[in-house]
Amino acid sequence: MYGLVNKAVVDLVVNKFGEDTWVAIKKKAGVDHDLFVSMDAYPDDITYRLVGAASEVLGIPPAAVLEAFGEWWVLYTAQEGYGPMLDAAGKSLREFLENLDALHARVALTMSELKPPRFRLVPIDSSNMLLEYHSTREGLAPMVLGLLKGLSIRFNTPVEVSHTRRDSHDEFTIRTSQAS
Amino acid sequence: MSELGLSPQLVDRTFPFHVAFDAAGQVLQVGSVLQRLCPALVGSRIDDVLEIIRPEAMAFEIARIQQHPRTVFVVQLRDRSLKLKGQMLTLDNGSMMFLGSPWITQLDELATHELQLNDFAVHDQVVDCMFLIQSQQTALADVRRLANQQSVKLAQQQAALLEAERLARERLEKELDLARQIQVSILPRTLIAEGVELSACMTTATEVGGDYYDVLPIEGGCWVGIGDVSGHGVTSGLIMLMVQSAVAGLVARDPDASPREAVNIVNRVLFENIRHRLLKDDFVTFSLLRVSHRRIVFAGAHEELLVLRGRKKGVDLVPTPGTWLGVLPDIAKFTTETVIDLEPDDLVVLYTDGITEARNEVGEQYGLDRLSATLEGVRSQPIEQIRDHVLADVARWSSRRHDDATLVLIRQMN
Repeated sequence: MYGLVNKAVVDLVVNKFGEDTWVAIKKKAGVDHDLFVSMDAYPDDITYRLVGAASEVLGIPPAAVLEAFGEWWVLYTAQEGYGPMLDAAGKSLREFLENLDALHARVALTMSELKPPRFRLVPIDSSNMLLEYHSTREGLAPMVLGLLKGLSIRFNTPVEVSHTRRDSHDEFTIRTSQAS
Repeated sequence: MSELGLSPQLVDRTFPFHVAFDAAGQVLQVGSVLQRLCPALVGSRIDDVLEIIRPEAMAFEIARIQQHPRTVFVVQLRDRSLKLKGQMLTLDNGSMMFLGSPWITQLDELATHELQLNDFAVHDQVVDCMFLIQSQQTALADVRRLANQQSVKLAQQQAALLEAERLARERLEKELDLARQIQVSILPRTLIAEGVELSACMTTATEVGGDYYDVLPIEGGCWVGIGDVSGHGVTSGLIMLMVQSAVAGLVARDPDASPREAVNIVNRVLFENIRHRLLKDDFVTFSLLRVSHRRIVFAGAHEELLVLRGRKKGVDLVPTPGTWLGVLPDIAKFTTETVIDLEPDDLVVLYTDGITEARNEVGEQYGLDRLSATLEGVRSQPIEQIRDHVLADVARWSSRRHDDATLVLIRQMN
C-alpha cells in the first residue's frame, strides 16, 4: 500500500479519537513508523496490522474499521490534493462510479507499485445499479461500503447499499432514492 | 486494403476538441466538447473565435500553416483562458483540421475550464500528465511537511536544552548562595581583644570562594585563624564550618594551648571528615595564631605574614612553613611553631590570595610588593582606615572580583 493509505489511517484515528489512541494502536500493531511518505510503497502487512490493532483498541470489528476508513478515504484524498480530480470525475454519484475504474487506472500509471482494485458499474435502471469490485487483496470489501457511504455524502445522494455477492469477486447493489 | 473513413461521430469520439476549417477560414466541423465550450464556432469565421498563439504571428491561413508541418500549435479560445495544444492536418479536400487537447498542468484547472474527465478521449494523456504532476506535488508537500516537523522538533529540543541549562545554573547559584550564607554567618561579629587593635574584612566573589578567618578573644589576647578552602560551593562552606568549630572547641578547652598542637588536631578532624565522610579531596591552607603578651605564636601553612615594625621602615615577610590541612592523616612532623615578638605599634597583616593575586585588565597580579608599599603608606593611620585603604586600592587594581579576598590586621597596643 502507498504511504497515502497509511497516512489516511493515521488521519482518521487522530481526528476521531486523538493522538493518544493513535500511539496505542501503533504500539499494539508493532508499527514504529513515526510518519509515512505518501508516494512510497509500504508492505500491505503494515496496513492490515494497523486495522487489526485499531479494531482491538477501539473495540469494534475489523469490518467496521474498514468501513469507517472507506468513508474517510473520500474526504482524505480530496484534502490531499486530489479534490479537483474527484470533482472532474463526475457531477453525480452515478457518473462518478462510472469513472471510478478509469480513475484508479490513471492513478496506477503514476504509482508504479500500485495494485489498484478494479471496478465495473452495471446500470440496472434509473435508481438501481450494481458495482463490481475486484481486488488482489483479501478482505477489504467492507472498505467499499464505507467508500459508497462517503460518496453518498459527497454527492448528497442517499443510498441503500447491500453486499450481494462475495465469492470470486464482490458485488454491491446500490439503490438511490432519487433517479440518478 | 480498404481505406478507413472516419465518420464525423468517430472523429469526435477520438478528438473531442478538434476543429476543421476551409481556405476561407470558415469553420466546417467542431468536436463536441469544444462545441460545448465555444458554441459560436460552428458557422463562424474561425479567426473570430480562436487565435493561434504559437507559432507567433500566425493566422488561420492554410497555405502559411502548411509551411510548418512539424510544429506544435497552441490555439487560444478568444473569450476564455483555455488553450489547446495540438497538430494541424491538411485534409484530402484541401481544408485543414486542428487536432488538439487542453493544455493544462494543474488538476484545479479542470474546474476552471468546466472540464470533466469524461470530456477527454480515453487515449488522451493530458489527464495522466495531471495525475503525474499531482503525485509529484503530493510528494513535495510531504517533504515540506517532514522538513517542517524536523525543524519544529529541533526547536523543541533546543528549548528543552536551554531550560535544562537554566535549571542547572539556577541550582548552582542556589548552592553558591547557601555556601555564601554559611561562610558569612560564621564570621566574628566583634573584633575586640586585650592588648591589640583589630580590623578585618572579607569580600566574597561569585565564582570561586572559600576564604575563612576568625578571631576568638581570650584573657590577655586572642586567637586568630585565617585560611582558604579549595573548591567552592556548599562543600567548602561545610569545611569552613568544621575548621571554625574545631578551633573554637580547642580554644575554649585550653586558651593557652599550643598552636602547633591545635593545627595538628584540626587536621586530624578535617582529614577524617573530608576524606572518609564527605568522600571529597578538598584541602585547606590555614594558619592559626595565638596573640598574647606582645607575642604571636603561630603554626600552619598559609600566605606569608607581613609585619610592619612600628619603629623602623620596611615590611618583614614571615614564612608560614608546614603543609595543608586535609591531605595527610597526621601532619605533626611538618608542623612547626613560629614566634613573633611585638613592640607597640607593630602591625601584623594576614591576607588571602584574593588580595595578592587580584589581576588588572592585562592580567598582572596585585602582588606582595604592591601590598607592602600600600601598607607602608598608611601604616600609622587608624586600623580600620588602613584596612579600607588597602581594599580600595585592590578594587582599583582589579575591577572584576574573581576570588574571595580577606584581610586581617593586628596592631600591638602600648
